[in-house]
Amino acid sequence: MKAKVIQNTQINNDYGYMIVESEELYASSEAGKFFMISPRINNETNSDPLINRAFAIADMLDNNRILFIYRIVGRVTTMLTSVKEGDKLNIVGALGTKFSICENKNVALVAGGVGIAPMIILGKVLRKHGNKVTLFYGGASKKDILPLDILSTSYDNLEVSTLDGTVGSKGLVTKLLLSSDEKFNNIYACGPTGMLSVLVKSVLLIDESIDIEVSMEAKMGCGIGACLGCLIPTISNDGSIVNRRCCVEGPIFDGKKIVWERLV
Amino acid sequence: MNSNSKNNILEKVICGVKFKNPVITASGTFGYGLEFIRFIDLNLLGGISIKGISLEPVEGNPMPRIVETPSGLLNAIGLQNVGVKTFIAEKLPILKSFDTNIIVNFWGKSIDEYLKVAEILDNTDGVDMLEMNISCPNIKDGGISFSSSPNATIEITHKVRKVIRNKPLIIKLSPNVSDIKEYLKVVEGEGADSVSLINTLIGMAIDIHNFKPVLANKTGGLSGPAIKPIALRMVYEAFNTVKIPIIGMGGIMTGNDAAEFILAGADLVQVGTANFTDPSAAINISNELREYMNSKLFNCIDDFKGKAVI
Repeated sequence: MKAKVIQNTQINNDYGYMIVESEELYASSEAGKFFMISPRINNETNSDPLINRAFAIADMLDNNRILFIYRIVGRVTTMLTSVKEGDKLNIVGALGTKFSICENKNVALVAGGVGIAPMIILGKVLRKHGNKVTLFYGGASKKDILPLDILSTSYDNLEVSTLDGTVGSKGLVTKLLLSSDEKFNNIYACGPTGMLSVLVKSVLLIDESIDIEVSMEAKMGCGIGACLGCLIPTISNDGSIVNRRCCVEGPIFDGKKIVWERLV
Repeated sequence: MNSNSKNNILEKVICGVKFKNPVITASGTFGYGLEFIRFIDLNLLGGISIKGISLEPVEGNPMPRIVETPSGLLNAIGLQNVGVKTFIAEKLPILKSFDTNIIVNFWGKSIDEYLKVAEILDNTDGVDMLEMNISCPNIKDGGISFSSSPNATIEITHKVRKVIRNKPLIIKLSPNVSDIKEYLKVVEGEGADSVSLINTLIGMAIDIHNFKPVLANKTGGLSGPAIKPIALRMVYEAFNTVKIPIIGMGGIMTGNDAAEFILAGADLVQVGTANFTDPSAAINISNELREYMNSKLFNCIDDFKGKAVI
């Protein structure tokens, strides 16, 4: 399907965000889901780069508009920086699973780097369901902490950390969460796999009853469950290890059911 | 224009099986077909070649399994599949409800496994054709070992041919041989009804920061536009070597790409990696091929099959 570009803004050298309009994408979007963007912008026929790239739905705006955030890391995301208002993107989506939404709970969102993206919409939805939302937002440096105006309605409390201390407290965002005096019932997290692994293991040591949902990342060939390239090892109900497709059975997983040792 | 119109220029019959258009989705790139129902109307496809089925379920290779390369995709999935029993019980009943040809790609870890799964599928309603995979580069046992020498190919084709009595048998050939003509001759000689080519080319990608191959399997199968010229050359060689129908594939992304394969001698084509970049790729390619044929005033596939190489 096609999506029309409404706005493309480069935040700094490493990050940009885009607003696209597509009735079909909007209709299937929910917090946690993602979509695939083809590198063939405006229907060009280039075959290099070839494979579509996955982006999390960061927010759903009025008039069938979807916001997503991209970190400029490779050829396709570099191509995205030159996309202009009115350009057409070929997209497939919305894809994957959604976050489960709790009600009237004390909730922590933990975001590492561009992992902030799905937390923007999730925070808004959670707050509408009576939850108190604290956002723990970490990055390597100041440039990794995006302008907070695009997420200002996604939290009640905000805690920021950077590895170099250029903004917020210095250190890992997982440490920031663990040092909090708040008692959280539910945790939702998105970020590098190493961060998610440490987070889940640390939280379980403190309180096994806390629900932790994580949004996982994997290199995807198709995004629709056909190529079997993006498997995440999980523990099934009978205790055996079962590989699940990040794109169809994920990207949202119960953090306690992921076999982190096989990923990190 | 719809494919049921009285004069459907895309229609093509091979081995007694009628295809409403010559575009089939290639094995391993279209799952069990069911994954695509949300995105496209499967009734518009010429056919679906199902992901390689084995006697028992197979877990496949460790991750990472895929990596993009220039105009290509390198994969080492390792023929992960649900096994023939689950396929027949859970996937096929849904697939049968669509008006498209179901080609089941199958393989085994031993000759015995090939024979057992072939026999089961040969006696299963709703399967229109069988495509024997002797060319997967990503598994140690079976797969490519049966296409690594003409003698091994003769043996497996001979034995499987004996147990397949009801359905047309396609042999999917490996491009990872020095002279594909030898293999084409022997599978035709052993009674194959059709050949499909090419499977992926063995390739590799290296992670220069971690000093190791990107794929856990070290090597993988290369697909996508990068391999199209090689695939065309091999389809052309097949056209000059065998009389049985040829199903050509390798990097087809557009209707014009499909036209190139038919001009090189293919009766039908398969579309693989393009399904990953656009779920409706096969349907678009079929429509574009019709436009190409109309622009050249071709009334049927045979009007231009092999035209570039005769």
